[in-house]
Order: sequence, then C-alpha cells, then structure tokens
Amino acid sequence: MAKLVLDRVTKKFGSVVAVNDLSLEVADGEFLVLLGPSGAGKTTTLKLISGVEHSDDGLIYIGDKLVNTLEPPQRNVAMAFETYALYPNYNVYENIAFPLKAPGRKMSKQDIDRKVRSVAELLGITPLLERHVGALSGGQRQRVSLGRAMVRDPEILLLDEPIAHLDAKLRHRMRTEFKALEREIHTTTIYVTHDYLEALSLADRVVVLNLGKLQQVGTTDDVFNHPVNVFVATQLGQPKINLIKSTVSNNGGKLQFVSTDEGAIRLDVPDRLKDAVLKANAKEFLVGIRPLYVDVVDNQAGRANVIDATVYVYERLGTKGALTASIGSQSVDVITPIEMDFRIDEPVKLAVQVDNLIVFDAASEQNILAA
Amino acid sequence: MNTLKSRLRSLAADGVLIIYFVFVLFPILWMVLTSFKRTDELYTTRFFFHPTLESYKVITIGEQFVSGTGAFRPDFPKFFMNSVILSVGAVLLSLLVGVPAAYALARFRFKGKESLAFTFLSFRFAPEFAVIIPLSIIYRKLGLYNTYFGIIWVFQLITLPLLIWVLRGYFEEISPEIEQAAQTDGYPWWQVFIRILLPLVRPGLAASALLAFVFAWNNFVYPLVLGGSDVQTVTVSALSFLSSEQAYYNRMAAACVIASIPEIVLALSIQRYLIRGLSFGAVKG
Repeated sequence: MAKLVLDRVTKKFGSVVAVNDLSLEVADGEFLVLLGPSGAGKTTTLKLISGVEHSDDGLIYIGDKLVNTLEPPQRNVAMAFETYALYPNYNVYENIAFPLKAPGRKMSKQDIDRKVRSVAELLGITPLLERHVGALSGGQRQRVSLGRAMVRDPEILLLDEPIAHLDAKLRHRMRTEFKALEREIHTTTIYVTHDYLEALSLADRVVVLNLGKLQQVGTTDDVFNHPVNVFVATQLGQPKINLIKSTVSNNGGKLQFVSTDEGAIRLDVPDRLKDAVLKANAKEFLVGIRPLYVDVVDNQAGRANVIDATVYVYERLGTKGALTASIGSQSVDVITPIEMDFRIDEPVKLAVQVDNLIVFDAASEQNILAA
Repeated sequence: MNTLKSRLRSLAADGVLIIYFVFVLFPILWMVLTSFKRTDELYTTRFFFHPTLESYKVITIGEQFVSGTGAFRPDFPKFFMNSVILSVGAVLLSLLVGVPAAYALARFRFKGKESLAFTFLSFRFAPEFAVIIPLSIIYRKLGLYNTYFGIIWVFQLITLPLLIWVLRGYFEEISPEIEQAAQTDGYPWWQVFIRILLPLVRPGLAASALLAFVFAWNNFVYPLVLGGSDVQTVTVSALSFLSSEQAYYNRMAAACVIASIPEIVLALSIQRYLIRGLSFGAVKG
C-alpha cells in the first residue's frame, strides 16, 4: 500500500506522444480509474508506473521513493494486462503462483498453495488450476491474468481493462466482486477502462485522459455533473450528452439560449449560470443536457423549455427506452420509461430540465463555469 | 464407384511415393551393403554376397589385428572425435552468439538492423569453393591452419545464419508483454530469459541446432583445405581409403556408416522438442 505521484511525466514513441505532461497524485489505498478512448495513453501510463516503459521526462514516486531508475522487479507493483500475457509454458496454477516464487521471496509451499487457491476460488477458476493456458476461453484467461496480479500484496495494483472481454453478465458480476474486494484489500489500485459504467461504479476518483493529456480528475460526481470540457462530458453517459449549438438572446428581460439552426429550441438560462453566461466572451455556446434530464410530455400549452420534435428512432432496452428525436437538423436523445411507445415521424414534446444544463463555450469547448 | 476411384488414386500415389523413396534411399542402402562386403566381392553389383565385419574391424582396431599383416593405422576413432569436437564446438559457439543476436534482432530497433540480419543470412550463400582460397591464405598467415579453433570459426559460416534466422522468427512470435509480465512479477531479465523465453523457443532451438550440427558434421571442404592431420574429420578421412594400391570402398562405406550414427541418434532424441503450438493461447488475438 503506498501513495503514488506522477510529476509531469511524458512518454513518446517516435513522433507519437503517448503520455503528455501528466501529473497525478493518488492517495494510499485509493481506487483510481483511468477513463478514456483507445490511444488515450492509459496503458502506457500503467506501464510507466510498473517500470516496463521508461519515461522520457518527469518523475514517478511510489510511497516516498523516486522509482524512475528502478527496474520492474524492484518496484513492488502488480499488473494485469489487457492482452492477459499469460505464460504459455505453465498451467493455470503455476501462472498464478509465479509471482510468489520470484527471487527474494521466501514463501513456504503451503503458503503459496493457500494463496493461489484462495484467489482462484474468488475468481471462480478453481476447476481450471491444472489446465494449460492454451485450453482456456478468453474470459477464463482474463480471470487467470487477474488472479496472477492479485495474488501478491503489491504496493500498487494496476489493472488494464481487466473485465473488458467478459460477457455482460460476467462483467456485471466482476464489477460487484471488485466493489466488495475494494472494501477488504486496501491496495492502491489504478484501473483502466473505456467503459464509463465501471468508472462510475468502482472509482473513488476518475481521471479522464485524451491523447495523452489529462482532461479532468475528480470524484464521479465531479466528472459526471461538472465536466470541465465537452470531451469529458461525452465520455460519461450512454446515450451521450445532448449538445445544442446556441446563441444567447435577451427575450424581454429573460436570458435564453436559442439554437443556431432556425431557433427551434429555446431554453431559459438558469440563475446559477447567468453570471457565467454574461461574463463569457463567447459568440456561441454548446448547451448540454443529459438524456436522462429530458422528459417526454403531453401537449401542455404554455410550459416553458419544451421542444417540439419528431420521433426519429426509438429503442426499447429492457428497463428503459432510448428515444432519438429530431428538430430540424438537430437530434436529441431522451431516456424514457419503458412503458412508453412511439412511432417513427410521430410528433413529440420534450421538456428540458434546465436546472441540469451544462454549458460550454462552443469555440474552446470548455465549461463556462470552469473558467 | 467413388471409393474405388479414390482408393485406386491413393494406391497410385503410394506407388509413386514408394518408387521415389527407393530412388532416394538407394545410395544409402548400397553404402550399407558395401560396408559389409569382402574386398574381393567389392567391384560387383551383387546384392547377395558373403557379409563380413572385416571393414569395420580394420578401420577401428587395425589391419594388423585383423589379418595379421598390413600397415594400416586406425586413426578412425581419432577422426571421429575430431568431428565431434568440431561440430559440437561450432554449434555451441553459434548458440552462444546466435541466441542473443536473434533476440536483439527480434526485439530492438536500431539503424541498419535489416542489413545486418541479411548479412548474417548471406554467410550461407557463400559458395565454399569461391571463398576457400582466400580463406586458406588468411588462415595460414594467421596461424589458424590445422587448428580446432580455426575450423570451429569457419563452421560459423554454416551454423550461425540458420540459428539466427530461425530463432529470430520464434522470438518475434512471443509477445513482449509476456516478458513485461514476468518482470513485473519480480524476475530480473536474465531469469525471464531462462524461465520463460527459452522454453518457448525450444522447438526452434532444437530444430536449428540439429540442422546446424548436421551441416557442420557433414562438411568436407573446410576441414579438407583449412585443416591438416591434427583436426582431420571423418568426412575427410573417408578419402584416405582410396589409396594408390586399392580403392577400399568397403572401408570407406563402413566409415560413412559409423559417421552417420551420431546424426541419426541426435535427430531421434531431439524429436520430442520439435512440438509446435506451445505459445498458442498465451496472448489474446
């Protein structure tokens, strides 16, 4: 268990900057999630922490020790790789036991056996212990890879998309297992994923990365409700946050956002944003509202912040529905209760909960509150 | 009707294969038969003759002990040992140098890598007779003529390219993340190499080391020209049975039969390492 500090770390591969001036402080025992699309630099960051890659610039501290010059065997770090990287010449038991037999470790055979079996039990792979790695399915291999990382007591645990290739049900179960595990093992954990649900469910804090650069670091509430820019806002949430390009107009003393194409969408500027909107030196705004803050309403005359739209597509997704409606050239995603039903091209009224608006400067894509 | 046709077809295929088999192996069969022939029956093409172990005895123990007379000194055991020393030595040196070279070519990026790799391969292209004259001049000047070291060194032209190219392919097939995983698990690099990498390239190692040994063992020109009586190999020694009085083809054949035994034994014992599919499933995709 140790805290981790990255101080302006940079890593280049030829001309590609994989990690760009990244600075991060992870508290002891914290569960930190690195979220971002492919190419964001998440795996490279993990490899820099474990020492298999060396940074071109910047300092890395584990505990209070500067580890830049330490080779991986000397940094007490465990990693589960996205590609599993299991040892093909050993069976499952030996793969998991391998870290415990490293030079410098003096564990008795019984202790090793006990640890391997308890980890195997936790991951549900006990019947596979004698099998060779080549005879396993993808999901089984992923669990062996996890087991190998978890079997030690490292100072830092690095997990690279550890449940990405499991089927949905198993993924959900593993998510809850992780959550339970978190409470028991207090190892500082860095968890990489591109799936925001894992981030929201497991993280103490979330770090959003794009193209090697840190976008935002904060609690799940921070990144979900107060995203610092458009990228962060679109990374979390499914369907994606709706962004409506608008200008501001003063409609008889009331500030309103007016959509740029034909002005079909008019939304009141909430009080909490009024100052920021007026202060912002922006010609256009991107007005963001998450699909769950838009409701389908009946014809209620005179109600403010209602959009007249036409149904484009409606997906029934078991417990909820995802409606995509179009207004002119704009489309808006709405999450609806499953009881509703719609026909294509049917007219529909959408009420926007303007208190939940997140507004960005259209040019800089920054949250106007973040300035 | 179909099965009859296909059965005839496979019989015909078997027939062709058998004919080819006989064609290719016949010289070897004849050699073995010749080694058991008496000298007076030697120049016939008989398949049925009076077999004798006379040739074998002469070349190993000595003519004096066999027929009471004769001055033929059996240096054959010495030549056999020379072949062993030179071939094993050449393969060991190639392993020592070639395995790290193959790993470097597989893993690292540096300027001129592909030309370097091709240079190694090009050693194999060197026709022996084209390089033998300059080599023998250089060897004599350097004092390498008729030395074990000199022959082992020149054998690298035969053994090294093979090893490097085969092993490079095997190393390239292993994902670097496996090495990274082992290092992260606490193993210093040399231990990763021994415990994880070597077992995975074992089939390639076995196959290429065996081939390298066979090529070195069978080599005739280099020991002939660059070696003298001190390092004479079994291949060269076979020549000595053709003297001015008589061409003892039976003794030559016996020498060749004995000389081929190590190669056969080695090939059979290495078979179990030549299994593919070891690395399947270790890395996703």
